[in-house]
Parts: sequence; C-alpha cells; structure tokens
Amino acid sequence: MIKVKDRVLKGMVYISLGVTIFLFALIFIYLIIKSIPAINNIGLGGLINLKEKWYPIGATPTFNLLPAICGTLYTSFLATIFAFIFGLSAALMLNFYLPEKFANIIFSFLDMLAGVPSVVFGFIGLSTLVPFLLKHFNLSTGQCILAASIVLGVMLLPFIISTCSESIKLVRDRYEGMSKNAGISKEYFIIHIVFTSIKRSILAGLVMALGRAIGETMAVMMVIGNSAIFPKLLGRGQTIPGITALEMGSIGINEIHLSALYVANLILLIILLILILVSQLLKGNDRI
Amino acid sequence: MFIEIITYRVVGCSNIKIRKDGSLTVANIIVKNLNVFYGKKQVLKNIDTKINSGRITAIIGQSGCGKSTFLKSINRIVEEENGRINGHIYLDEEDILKEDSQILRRKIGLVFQQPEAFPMSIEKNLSYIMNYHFNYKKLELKERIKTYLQMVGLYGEVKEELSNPAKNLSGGQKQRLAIARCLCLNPEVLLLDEPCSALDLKNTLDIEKMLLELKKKYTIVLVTHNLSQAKRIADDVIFMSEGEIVEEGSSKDIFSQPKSRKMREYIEYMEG
Repeated sequence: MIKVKDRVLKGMVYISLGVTIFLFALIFIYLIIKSIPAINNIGLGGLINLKEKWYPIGATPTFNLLPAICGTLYTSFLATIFAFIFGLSAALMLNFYLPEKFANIIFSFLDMLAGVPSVVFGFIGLSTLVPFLLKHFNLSTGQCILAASIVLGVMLLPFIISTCSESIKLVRDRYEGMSKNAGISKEYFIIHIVFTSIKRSILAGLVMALGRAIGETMAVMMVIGNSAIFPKLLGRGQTIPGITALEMGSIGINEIHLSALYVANLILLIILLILILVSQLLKGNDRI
Repeated sequence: MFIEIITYRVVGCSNIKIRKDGSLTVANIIVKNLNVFYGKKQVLKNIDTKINSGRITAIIGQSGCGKSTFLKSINRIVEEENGRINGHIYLDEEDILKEDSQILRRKIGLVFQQPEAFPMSIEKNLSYIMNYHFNYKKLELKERIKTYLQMVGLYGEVKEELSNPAKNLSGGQKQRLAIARCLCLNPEVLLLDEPCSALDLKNTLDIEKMLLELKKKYTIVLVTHNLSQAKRIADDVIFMSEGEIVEEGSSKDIFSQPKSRKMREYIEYMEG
C-alpha cells in the first residue's frame, strides 16, 4: 500500500512538472508564431534600429522597439541598483544590529509590503514623487525614467532584503560563533567573511530582481511618461510591458501592430530566460 | 621561546604578561560562586574550583549537566547566547567578567565540537584572525602561519596547499586547524568542547598527542564524554552533575578511588 502511495505521489510530481514545462513551451511557441507576420513584413532591421520611432498609427507606420527595450533595461537596472544599496544595508542592519524580536517585526512588515498591489506604489509615486521631481528638477511633467526607477526600486526592496537576509543568515549561523570566539568584531566579520561568502548569492538575487523589474507593468506605466523615445534619466520613456498594456486592447486582431507587440514580448521573454539562467549559474558557485 | 617573560604591557583595560615571542603567559583559572542562567533556568549552581596552569583538566559528566556551559562561561560566549553570569572567574588575579570580551577571547581560546573552517583558504583561516589582532608584516605572518600549523601537526600535510580552500580538509584536519586558529591568538588558556567527538580513532589520538605537547605552554580545559580520553591525557578531572561540581581532583585519584556515589555510578555506566 505504501509503495502504491509512493508511486502516486511520484507520478503527480512528474505530471505537474510536465504540465508546467508544456505550458511554458506553449507560451513561447505561441509568441514565436504570432511574431512571424511582423518579422516577415517589417524585418528585424525595422523592428530594432537607431533611426526610426515607435509610431504605429501614422500613414507610414514604423515599429522600432529599441526605445522601449532601452527604456525597460535602463529603468530596471537603475531600480535594481537603488534597491541593492538600500536592501543590502537594511539586511545587514536587521541581521546584525537590531534586536531579534524587533527585526522579526520588520521582516513581517516587509512580507506585507511585498504583497501590496503595484498600482498602489504607482499611485503613491504619481502623487508624491512626480510632483517632487517636477518642482525640484524643473521638468515639464515630472514623469520620467528616474521616477519609474525609484518607484520600482522601492517595490524591489522586500525581495532584495529577503534574498540578502537569507544568505547572510546562513553565513552568520555557521561562522559568527567562531569569529566572536576569536574576539573579532562584527564589522570585520561582515567585511571579510559575510561579503566574500555571499557575493555570488547576492549577485544571483540581483539578477532575479532585475528579472522582476523588467516585467513590472502598472506602477512603472503610471510614472514613466509613456513616450516611446530613447530614454534619458530626467526624460519620459516607455517599457515593453507598458507599451503592451497600453496598446494591446485597441488593435485589430490581424494587424502588424499587434504582431510587433508580440515580438516585443518575445524579446522580453528571452531577456528573462537569460537572466534566470545567469542567476542559476551564479547560485551554484557560492562559498558558504 | 615560549618561556621568557620580558615585560608587562597594557592591552585595552587589562594587564597582560607578554612573552618574548608575543604570546601570553600561562594562567590559573579560579572560579568563585559561579551561577549561570538562561532566562529563568539556572544551568550552573555555585561552582567553586581552581583550574591549574600548564595542566590538562577534563570536565566530565552526563549530557546536559552543564559541562559545555561551564566552558563557555570561561570565555563569556554564554553572554552571546543570551545567558547571564553571576559570580567571579579569575584568570590569575583578573576578574574576567569585568574585562572587555574581545580582549578576553584573545586570552582564552575556545574550540567547538564540530570541526569547522572559515570559507577561505587554509592560510587565510589564520591570517584572518592575526590581521585583526596584530600588525604582523607579511613575512612574519607567513612564518607564524607555518609555526602554528606545525604546532598542531598540520603543516606537513598541507604545506603544498596552503592557498586551497580549507573546506576541503578532513574532519580531523579541520579540528586541528581550529586549534591552530586559537593558538594564533597567543592565548593563555585553551578550552576544548568535545574536540574529538566527530573524529575517528586515528585523528583522536593525533589530537591527544598534540594536546599533551601543548599543555607545557597553555592551560587546557577539555570537555569530554570519552572517559578513556580523560584517563589518557587529563591531569585533573572535574565531575559535574545537574549544574554542580560533584567531585574533583587528580585524574589518578578520581578514576581509581571515586568518592561520591554519582561518580562511581557514572564510571560504571560509561565503562559498561
């Protein structure tokens, strides 16, 4: 009887894994099929170039995706850097300097923050950060790459803090006693043991965070300005998820415009796959 | 080179006797009315004893009797685990409970039960500690690494792979590296919490041989469950039960003529 149960459990696990892989493959294939009309009609040179704009509704429409790709990467990289600086510091503070009870309360709060809908972050960004930038940087609207990066950075903080904390805790549990026992200070331990041991895990976490940032839609859309132009820090911009969410609903089913959006999302998916792969490779080589 | 005392110098808040080679002198440990609490639970009760310098003192007793807590009180690691210490522990004349814990742990090294190495190379496992506490120049640092590894009988085995990760060492080698890490602090006292419990017989005998050599230079306190080990290497024995010292004395007397019923029962139980 136990053997039958074991086999059923094993079978269910295999089936679930199979279904997940099948669904992912289906999405990937679907995106490729839907992208073919745009690639055939416009060509890869027309979809990614330095000259044209994303201007899909003119008399002679152009479908250059490069500004949106650059906007996505620019915003995501900047957001990840913001989140990393504050996230790592917060993780160190929570693990080494705050009393455990107090740190646990903050960890619960961070878990809660991770569950807040992105539209709330976008709304807060729009009503506080955008007017602030408008006033202090003399901008025309305040909606810009910097605003999007800051909002996105705040959204990434819980993930970065929890990733850093997990790695720090592993090293701390294993080596801090030995280090204290040798009369070594917390700070020396953090610099020489913690940082050197977890740098790969942290990097893997950052790459995963970058993946999350790249896929974020609503909050970014609310504060970035949504202009498909090459991005500047204090200028408007657009991201691939943003352009998709804004334009998907208003396009006819068989239009090239729609197919071009599928190409954009295929590119997004490929970037994400590369990031996940890099993250897994980094994770596998830690020194803990 | 470990014998001559040339000067006294002030390190932090304490006066430490310094040998010519920079190491510290061997000291007696005097414990007076020591009580240790974890929360409301009293783990050690009214401990009074003297641990003599230059000898190996084994602390024996059933699991949970407070042996390790006693050991961890001596270098105040108990406080890091949210324990509370009342009473007095003197290192010769200095009350260690009044000392800065970082300076104290330079004088009293503790080796844990599980052989563990820092996630770095073999030589960096030692230089990590020495660079923090001392200002040795590169050449002197290398010489000292060699000396300490020789003292624990590890240098011959690893001299070609000093820059390799220490995690690749065997359990016995890691434990000897842990002892070398303690020695590089130039301590007066070496505390060892069941250092051989995870090791095979060969590695156990290697470490025992090394401890017999080291006792000429350090006061050694060893917690062990292994009565044969205590008989083989301990000069003095402290037998503990339920957080109290039940019996203490020279190893020879304790094992040949135990006075208390608990000690007799413990010996019978351990020897089957």
